[in-house]
Amino acid sequence: MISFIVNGKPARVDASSDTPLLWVLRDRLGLTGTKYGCGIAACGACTVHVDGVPARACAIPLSAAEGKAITTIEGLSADHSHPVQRAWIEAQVPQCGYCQSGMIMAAAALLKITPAPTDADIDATMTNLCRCGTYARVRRAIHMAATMGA
Amino acid sequence: MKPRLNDRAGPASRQSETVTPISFERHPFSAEVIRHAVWLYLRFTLSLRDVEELLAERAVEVSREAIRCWVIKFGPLIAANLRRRRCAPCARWHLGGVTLISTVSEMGQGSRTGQIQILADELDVPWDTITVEMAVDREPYRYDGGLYSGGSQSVRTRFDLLRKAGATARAQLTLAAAGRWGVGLAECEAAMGHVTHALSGRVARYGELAAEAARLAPPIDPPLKDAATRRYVGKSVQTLGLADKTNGAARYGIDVRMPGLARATIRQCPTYGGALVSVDEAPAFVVPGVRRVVKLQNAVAVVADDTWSAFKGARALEPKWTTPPLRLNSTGLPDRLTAAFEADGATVASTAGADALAVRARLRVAFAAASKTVQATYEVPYLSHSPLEPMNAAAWVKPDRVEIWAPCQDISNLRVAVARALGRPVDQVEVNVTLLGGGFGRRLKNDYGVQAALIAQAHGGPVQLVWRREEDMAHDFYRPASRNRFRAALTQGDLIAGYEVVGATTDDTAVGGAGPAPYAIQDFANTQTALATGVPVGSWRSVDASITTFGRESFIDECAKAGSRDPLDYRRALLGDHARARRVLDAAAEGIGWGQARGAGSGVGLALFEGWETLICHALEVETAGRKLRVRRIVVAVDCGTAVNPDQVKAQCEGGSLMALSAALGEAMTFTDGSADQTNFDSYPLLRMSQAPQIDVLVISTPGVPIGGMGEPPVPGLAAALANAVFAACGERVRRLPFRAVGWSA
Repeated sequence: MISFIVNGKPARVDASSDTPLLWVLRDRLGLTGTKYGCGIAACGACTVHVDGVPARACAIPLSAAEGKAITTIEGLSADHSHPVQRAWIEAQVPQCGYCQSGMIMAAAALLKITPAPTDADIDATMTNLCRCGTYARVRRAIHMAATMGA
Repeated sequence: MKPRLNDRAGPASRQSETVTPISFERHPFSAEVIRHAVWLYLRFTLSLRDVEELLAERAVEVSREAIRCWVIKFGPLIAANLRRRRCAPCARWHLGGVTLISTVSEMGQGSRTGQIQILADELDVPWDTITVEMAVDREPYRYDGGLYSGGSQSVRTRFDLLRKAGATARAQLTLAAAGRWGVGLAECEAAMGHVTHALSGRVARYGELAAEAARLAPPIDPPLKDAATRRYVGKSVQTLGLADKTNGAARYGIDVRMPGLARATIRQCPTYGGALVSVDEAPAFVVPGVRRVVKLQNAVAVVADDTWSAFKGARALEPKWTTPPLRLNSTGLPDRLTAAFEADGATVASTAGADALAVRARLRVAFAAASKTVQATYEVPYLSHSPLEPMNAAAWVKPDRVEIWAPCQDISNLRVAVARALGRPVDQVEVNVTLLGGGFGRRLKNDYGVQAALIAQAHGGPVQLVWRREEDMAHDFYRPASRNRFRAALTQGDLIAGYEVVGATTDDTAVGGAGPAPYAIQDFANTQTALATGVPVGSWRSVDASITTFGRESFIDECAKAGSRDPLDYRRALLGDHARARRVLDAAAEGIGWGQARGAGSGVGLALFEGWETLICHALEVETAGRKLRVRRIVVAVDCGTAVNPDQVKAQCEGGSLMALSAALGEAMTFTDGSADQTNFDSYPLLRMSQAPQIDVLVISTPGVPIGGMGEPPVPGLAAALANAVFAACGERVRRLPFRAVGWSA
């Protein structure tokens, strides 16, 4: 039995310890906002925050989540009003939207560490994949969110 | 303030701040449908069967058992909220909303939003009072015989139809009001969801009049609104459903959930055309949670309590497969494609048309008389679609009904395929279309849906099949590989008098995209051959044009070079008096700063394309340093006639250009002994943020012409614009994609 916090609430999960956190979130805890894209931490669709730090949930075995505080896209804000979320809407970023949970979690983490990121900062840290090609809008929205006081 | 659609609101947006928000999470049906069903059951003396029928009339297929559960779960909550916001006793509650029943799957292209805008203008309602439901696959809801999303036609082919529908309904509603009030029709005006009789001050909402209006004979040719009075078409209203994509609420196929849902994954024969011989099931059952192993003709599936257990169980198996005779090795492919189109009698398809003999005769004359001839051969690889959401579908095979939940683009075809696979009548198969995490043509196919149905049949309850990424990438219906030789006869001014294309494509004939449009080159012949390789192929965003436009637009530059002419001037000369093409060409060239002096290693390139009734021009600026390439900027000038939603048009131009850039820079599928070499993003690299340049899109309008499509036109020209820019920057002509394969890194 592994215990941890998800979006501020305690969770206790009885599953094999090698189960990736991604699948624990999606299949055991009903949190489907975190997405499966590749399973090898190459695409970032599964990005969550672990103790405030961005991490790819497909690469975190359940055993490593013990005692941690996990934030998923559902918990980024109580009422969907995080500056990144608001900027994403203002800039009309998502197309199919499947990668955007991970993209937003990565952007939110970037802005916490670097409140006014340069394009070079964005290039270096935003390595999430988007097949629909929303990168130009993601970049614009990150700059926008920075001015909104992320 | 831009109009916003809160698409989780109830009809007619009467949300009050004091009511308790109700969560409809994890229900496959929208909040609107659930609320409406519960309201019907509670408000009127209807049976569950009555409610089921009423919903079916509005193209919502839901069982009365589900309705019973909704009533139990949501009834008390909704009733409590109703009590809180009940107004004064004289107020009346009308449903009042408009439902657009759309045949379009939503995969990020924004077509539903465009359709709502068109309808809202002609029907004259606030656009956020229109909700969209997916059509079921039966008449009269089908479009052109089916439910299909692809071919860049979801908005442009419905433009006239939706306008007429809106105008027709508006005319009927106005007539109904006039009849009810006993006043002259000309004295009534329908606007923003109400009909008003100004002289008496009487007002009625559309919802109140709808029943009467429906009984009136629809007018044959209702007047359509003047473009100048449009409220929504031409405006960048916010995309439907976008907010849900920023907070985890959007539900894709892979997110479908229902009580008792088992999870499955699949291992398919790694060699195309092979079959399953045998598999020892025991290793799968070592994994806790694995419930069953299902053998299919060319695959084995593992069903478990949860997805990870299914993945583990499937990986533990060691299936034995047959070895089919036709197995592709990519190393020999270019030579084989060349041999295919050089062979005598290689023609499978030719686009010389009805006067083929005359065209070829003229081409022979042109080549004989040519001052110069130019020849070049271009090669493109197999490409994977790789939508971020891997293939998946859920299915439940019941005694009298088969239900599928799938992110799919071709519903009609899927129903037929599932029915055939299970030996059931098509009428028994229902497909619930979910949101798609990318389509690009991959989800036109039935494979994953049929597999889910067969697995569910074996299992007995509802099952969700999720492919691992490795299966998705290795079992695509790839964009084919192709080699095309272009040869042109140049005449006065070194302009192209005529040209021919001879080419071979794997398991397909790429007949589109190599032709002369929009240039005024009269004589053109395309002779294509298909080379059988056994690797499955399908439609990849822009289909044939994704294969041949790279060659066509690179070749235009090579012909310009043969005559020492500037590529922009050369194109202008070739266009004749095609004003729309000229406009996008000039706009893109000006946007990129054509003609400005540039330093060593810096260059700009152009590519012009016409297709799906849209004119589009890409202009790229690149920098090269040794073998390193950087795309600095992309300018896209596009004319799709009327941009129903300019921001959506821009988004498609941005997204399509970046998808094309991704392919051009680094994507290639190769095969060894009939199996895919690449199985995940570590070996099939998609474009990343750091490689994505600034993109500027110029939307140019031409009123009064048919609307052009936007899903695919931004793709074909990009690769040639890149090659042309690299040539300008450093003098190297790349004729084979991806750039990575010929030593460039980006």
